[in-house]
Amino acid sequence: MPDKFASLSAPSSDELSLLELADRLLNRGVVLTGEATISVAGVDLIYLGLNVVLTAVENLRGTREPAPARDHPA
Amino acid sequence: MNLLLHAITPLDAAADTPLAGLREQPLVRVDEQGLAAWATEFREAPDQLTRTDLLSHHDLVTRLDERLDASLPARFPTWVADVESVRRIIRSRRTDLATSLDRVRGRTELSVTAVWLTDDDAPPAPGVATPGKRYLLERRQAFAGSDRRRQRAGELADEVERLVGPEDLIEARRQVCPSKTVAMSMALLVPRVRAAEVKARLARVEPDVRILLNGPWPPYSFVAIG
Repeated sequence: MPDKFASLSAPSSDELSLLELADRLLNRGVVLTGEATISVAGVDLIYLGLNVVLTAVENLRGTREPAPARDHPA
Repeated sequence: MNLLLHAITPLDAAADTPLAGLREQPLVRVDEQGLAAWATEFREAPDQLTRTDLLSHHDLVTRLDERLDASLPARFPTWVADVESVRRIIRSRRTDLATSLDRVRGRTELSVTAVWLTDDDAPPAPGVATPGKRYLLERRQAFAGSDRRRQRAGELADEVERLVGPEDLIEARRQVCPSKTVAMSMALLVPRVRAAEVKARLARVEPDVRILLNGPWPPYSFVAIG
């Protein structure tokens, strides 16, 4: 039976952790000026939020364990 | 705009913190009314920031947060024109900033996300011949499944709060069923010295979701200023 628990404490080594982190960096934090004039290359899609986490989870499964077909998104 | 802002911290403890800014640019500290703003000073603002910049910002904020015991991370990217503009921002929001710093002092953020292990799509009922009946039945099943999942996700979030316990849970933010695949997402503000223990307490296996734990991180989710 595959391990269903994952504890991820090293953001730089795990795509899912990166996405969770990026969601906070880009969507939260204190807003002081209301200006964001320069985009962030390669992470614009992350701005979409938690929906993207799924992609990371699937990537994670793909590298760590074979996922049953039913686990994939429709 | 040449200053990329990283965080606001208390000033008293901020002295003599040797750190570099992003892309090996100077890290400047702007002191104003008992607070310190930390920013990378670019001679010329880059055309585009990258994932590396994003992570460098996180690393920098994390080090500041750990060293100074309190920080208000700036949403990335926050550009400010010059030092005087930073001073003006601090002056205009000094009370809110100080109050927020007090709230997160000595505390850190943990992230808990639960992802469904299976789809919720129920198969069409056998023996339903007409397309209209089949459609209505499928819709009813979908709504019922959605309600079940919302209830289950709420129970998972309640369970997380119970496991953390009232002594360690300073504040919590939760999103229940924010998307089809994510059951719930939580940000927990806990005492920094208790973070590892709390995280270990939350490590467990559930039959229907995958639980993912992240952090401790600077308190990104708890620094909103109105």
